[in-house]
Amino acid sequence: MKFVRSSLPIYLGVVGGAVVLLAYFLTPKLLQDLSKWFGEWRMTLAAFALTLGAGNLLRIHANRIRLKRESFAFSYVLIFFLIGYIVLGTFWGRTHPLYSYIFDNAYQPLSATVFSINAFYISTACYRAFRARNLQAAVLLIAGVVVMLGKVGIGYAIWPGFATVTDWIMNVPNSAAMRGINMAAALGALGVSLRVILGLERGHLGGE
Amino acid sequence: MDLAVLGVWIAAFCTLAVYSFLYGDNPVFKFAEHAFVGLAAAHVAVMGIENMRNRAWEPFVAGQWWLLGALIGGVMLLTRWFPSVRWISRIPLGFMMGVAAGMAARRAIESEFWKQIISTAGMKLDTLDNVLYLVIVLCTLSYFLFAFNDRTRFGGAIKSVGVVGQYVMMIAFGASLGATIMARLSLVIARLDFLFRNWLHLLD
Amino acid sequence: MDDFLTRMQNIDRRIIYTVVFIVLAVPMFKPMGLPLKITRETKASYDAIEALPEGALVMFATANAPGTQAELEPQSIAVVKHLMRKNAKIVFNPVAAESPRYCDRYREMMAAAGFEEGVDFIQLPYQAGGETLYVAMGTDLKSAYVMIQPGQYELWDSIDGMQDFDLFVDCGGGETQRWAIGHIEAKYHIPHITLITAVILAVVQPYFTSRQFSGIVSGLNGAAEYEVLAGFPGLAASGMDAQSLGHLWVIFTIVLGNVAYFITKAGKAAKARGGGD
Repeated sequence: MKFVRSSLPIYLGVVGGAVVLLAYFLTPKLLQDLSKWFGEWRMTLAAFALTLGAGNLLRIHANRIRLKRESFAFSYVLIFFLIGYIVLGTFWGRTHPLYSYIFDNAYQPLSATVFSINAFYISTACYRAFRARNLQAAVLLIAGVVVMLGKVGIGYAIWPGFATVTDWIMNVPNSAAMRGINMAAALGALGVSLRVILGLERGHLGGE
Repeated sequence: MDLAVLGVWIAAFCTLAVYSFLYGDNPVFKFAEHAFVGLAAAHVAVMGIENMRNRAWEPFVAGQWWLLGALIGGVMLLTRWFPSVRWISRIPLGFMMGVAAGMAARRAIESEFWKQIISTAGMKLDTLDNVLYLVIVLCTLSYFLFAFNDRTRFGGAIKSVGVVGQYVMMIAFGASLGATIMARLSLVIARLDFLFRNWLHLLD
Repeated sequence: MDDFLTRMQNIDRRIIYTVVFIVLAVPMFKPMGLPLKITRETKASYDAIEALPEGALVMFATANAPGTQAELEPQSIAVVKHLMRKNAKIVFNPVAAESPRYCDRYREMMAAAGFEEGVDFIQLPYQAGGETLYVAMGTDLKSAYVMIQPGQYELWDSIDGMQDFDLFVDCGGGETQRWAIGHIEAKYHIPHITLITAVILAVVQPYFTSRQFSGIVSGLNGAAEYEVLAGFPGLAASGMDAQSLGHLWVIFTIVLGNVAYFITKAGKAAKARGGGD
């Protein structure tokens, strides 16, 4: 039983990862077919995984209502929208006019506004927290200011050179530095991937 | 009332309800917040259910028997909801993470490492910009080299080159900062455009 | 003076929020007509589509979502209209859970312009899996979409795999760009343009330099540039004045905050020196 609980997930990860990675380098048909099958299985599993969040949310908020936690009344709101929208979408389909109506007029504006609220927080952060405390921070802030001016019309109207300097910053120092960062990050990602494929990594499986 | 007009008013209410948080937490914001989380999770679940149906269940019923393993694995994944049998979900999860790691490794080798090296090594050093580009890439990479003892002369030289890389990375992060601020402001502009144009009809 | 500067640095955040709102709203009512400079990356994207032969086959993979639609939607609409002008055959591929709804709108746009669904354009079903989907598309496109039956779409039946596409358009705010160049561009070397949020421009720039991307359209300003280039002025171009003032306000707050900080710091240092004498 310990094997099934602890070791089997690791071995399946080793087999899955090794087949997919080796299929990149080697051409035998069996390996290529296995790699394709594993990919298709993973896509199916990912579809099941999409429902996990909803189930978890339902469990947490049902618990909040049962234990009468703070603001538990709003949990009824969440559960109503969660179950109602799932039932509508599952039995009547994503393309049902009511489903699309709720998506266009409720979900979409809510989501867009939640993401947009960040702009106000950034504004406060710029005023209160962005300090040129040392030379590196000063370089960062100056580059940020130049790019902000170079990317919009008012910078071009103040001095056309801002656009030219911004283009140069994006194409030379930024591109080169990001290339170095991307390559270093790719090495790191490769290292972590190999640790998973070799069965040395267990943290990604989560607790019991 | 026309459904389209009602929809615009609902969208405007949702927008203003979320923005009300900027002036302090309040019940209207809490309602909108919980509605948003419920709808978001529900939509993702609906897409998952639709995908399960058309990707796995219907082809399996039509004769593609090899999908049985994936269907069983998917059901095992759902045991994550039940604490007493949660350990069963580790089995398909281990497989998923292994396959994902293999795919990420393939991508890292090909496009994020090899192609970038080829492109950098193949640069014609006929302009100052190209020379600077190569130097910056090397300086940035040397920042991430931790294998040298910086108390030795060679290690110290590598560290100094890395410091140059650090400063250039600050330029890159500054460019990222500028672009991020630009992106966030765009989101507010879009919401304000909706409120003024579509809801209040104050703009053409 | 120190008291004033300290109070200024701790100003109520709601005042800052109100100023942001005013700064962004005013240019919407009083356009300033600021100039717009076309960047090299946007021009390259436009040229890549302009160079397509009549009736070219294009895959439009989008990870558009409500959180990114402010930037990606104007870009997408301008690009789709440009592709329509080239009579391109488009395969819409939603790769994020929210993207199918956006693809529905592009299909409605094409149908309203007289294009025939199934022949001139199709929409693939959404599939979970993220990077796995891109690997599957790169390995065997038809078996990646096993749920589409033979005979269902004339356009789909005429396609054997990714090698048949003349252009790959990738729209998203993060990971999809890396997946596309890693698993599709790397194998098939199809011209590839990407529509992105401004946040990740700095990160994907090296891929344009290495010619893995043929073009990049980035952020609301990229959308405005594309609208101007293609001749379809839209919402992006009208939002640029507000963007300009918003940037000026942010720069002003950074400068003001730093000036106050350094004056306060110098004052404290002077007091400390004076106290030590």
